[in-house]
Amino acid sequence: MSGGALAYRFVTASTLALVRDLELAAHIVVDGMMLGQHTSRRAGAGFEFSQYRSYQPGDDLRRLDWKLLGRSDRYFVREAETETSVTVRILLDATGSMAHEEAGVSKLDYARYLAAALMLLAHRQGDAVGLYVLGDGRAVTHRPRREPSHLHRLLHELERIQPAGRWPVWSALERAVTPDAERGITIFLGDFHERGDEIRAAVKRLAGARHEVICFQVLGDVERAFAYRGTITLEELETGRRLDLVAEESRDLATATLEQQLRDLRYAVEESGAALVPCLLAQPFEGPLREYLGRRSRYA
Amino acid sequence: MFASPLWLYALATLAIPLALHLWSRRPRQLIRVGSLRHIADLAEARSWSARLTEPLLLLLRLGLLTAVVLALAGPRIGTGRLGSTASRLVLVEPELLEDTALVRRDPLLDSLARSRVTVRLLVPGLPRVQLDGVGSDLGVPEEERRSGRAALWDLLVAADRLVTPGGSMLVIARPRVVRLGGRRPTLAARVVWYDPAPQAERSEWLAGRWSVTPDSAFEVAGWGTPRGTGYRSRMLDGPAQRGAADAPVTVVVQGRDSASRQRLRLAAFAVGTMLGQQVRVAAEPGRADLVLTTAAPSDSLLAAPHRIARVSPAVLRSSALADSVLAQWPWNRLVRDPDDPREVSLAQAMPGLGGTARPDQRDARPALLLLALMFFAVERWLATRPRRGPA
Repeated sequence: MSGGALAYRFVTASTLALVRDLELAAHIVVDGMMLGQHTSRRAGAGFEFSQYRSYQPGDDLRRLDWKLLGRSDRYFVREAETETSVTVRILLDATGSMAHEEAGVSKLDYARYLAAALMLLAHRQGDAVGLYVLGDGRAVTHRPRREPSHLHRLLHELERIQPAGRWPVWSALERAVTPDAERGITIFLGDFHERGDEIRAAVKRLAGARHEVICFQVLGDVERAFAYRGTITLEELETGRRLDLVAEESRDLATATLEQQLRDLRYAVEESGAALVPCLLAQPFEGPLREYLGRRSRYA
Repeated sequence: MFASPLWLYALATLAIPLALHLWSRRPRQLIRVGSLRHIADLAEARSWSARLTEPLLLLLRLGLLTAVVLALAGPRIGTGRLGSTASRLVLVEPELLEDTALVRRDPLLDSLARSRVTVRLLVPGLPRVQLDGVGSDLGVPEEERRSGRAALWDLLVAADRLVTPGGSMLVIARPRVVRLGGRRPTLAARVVWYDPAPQAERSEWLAGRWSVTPDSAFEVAGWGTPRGTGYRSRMLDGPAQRGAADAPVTVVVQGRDSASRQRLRLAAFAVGTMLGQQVRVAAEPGRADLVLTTAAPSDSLLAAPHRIARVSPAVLRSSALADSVLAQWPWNRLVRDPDDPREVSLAQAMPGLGGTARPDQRDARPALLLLALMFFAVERWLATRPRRGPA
């Protein structure tokens, strides 16, 4: 692996923030991932030769290799690797809490870059990609399609998203997602900050609908370690509620409670058959992307 | 009400906790976060507690400072109002009730006369008088009036016995020097002085005069107004102003022991210094101008030409020794009129000022210090108790 590729593998959101074009940022991320190694293929009808096998009654005669029959007077069937086609749905949390920002990078920025990279990756693997933007109490739907123009449309849509409002009710989410009866991989991008258990409930329902659900939970490094200093006022982005506190005095309690909540969330998500991948804002994209590729490979 | 009211200026320190409280409420660094859920549960209780605790701490600190400052100022608890205590006694100078014009002019005397209350006259025996009019002769002999003026403290001590503990007495009299001289007694009753329609005229008197040189003399004159008294001095030139006794006074002291003799010597020097006369102490009575003795004079002493002043052994160890010597000093040039009408300020006349606690006013310092201690303990407990949540 060259040094340049190695550098691409560890690219972070703060680096990508310097790149204005989202598509270019996605290319930077994906190109560093040794594209193509993780495509899941199975033997069958296709274009790329894989192997010969003896003819079995019931095989399609069109797949019989006539030239080999002429040379060896034996019946062989030509097999090729068949690329599987997967429908990838990306659910992007665009509620107000995603405006949480650290070192100039917001959670939505991170989720935007990760979603763009996933879209590009899926597109290169021939998968249909759809985008569902959840925020401001509603879900904006872009149905999964495979055309390159659709990818450009989705990337353009990603660039326009602004964090606002709260999580939509399940009925709105259900109307957006379930018309795609086709099975596939559903990628959930968000911070998973809930009022009650609305996000966990949505994950459970999607996983119950035979979706392969991968949840990428985007958290800030400072937020997770509660690395604030001095006397501060915390304001909740979605509600505007404020809390005055001394950071040093509250750190142990806050981190312990947050870790407990994360453990509860992981347990609930995995219990419903989905996977939870924590992502920190300062963390490179390689980890989440490899997690996706592994899941996709197993699914396909 | 306060022994040291200047300490009340220290109440300005209340601004310190107030300023600190306001400083702690200044705008803080605002951080927008996705969720407060992980601290909200405990923060709810904590913030409610903090909202209650902070003003409570402020109040406790203010209370602590106030209690300490008030304790330093030495407050006394009690009404001090006439008539509000267990009993009261009204003592009136007879001349005031006999002066019709004065009674009509003075509101208190007028009220007393109209209400027909029973008062006691400020003369020996403290006779009770039923006021049923003013202007009439009360029938008090002149000797008793003079005696009453001269022995005010004795009358007040006698009246003090008639007042139940915690009671008070209202003394309606003109405060005059002759009346207020001598050691002030400590009285159990609270004394309220009332000077009816004080005279506005200014009075002056000769306090003393003595020679400085053969051709000059030094004179001290006193003055008195309803607002106070004072002295001024001036030098008089010329032989006509010379005093009578300019030669040194030779004194011989006789006492039972050396301590008594020493006290007599010091008293003689003090009197001489006050009168501007030179005093010499001699050992032989034959050369003395004055013999100060604590014993009864012997026949030989009485036969000698010098003067004899006998000092009571009871006075020998008291602060009245100098007064006793002065009273018998043959060359006392101070002019003293028993009926000196000059007036003094009521503040000078108030007995018991400067240290004698009044029975109806309790010292509030122990209670305040206890209160301050309680405030301090509660404040420390609140401020240092373990915090279960964010600040």
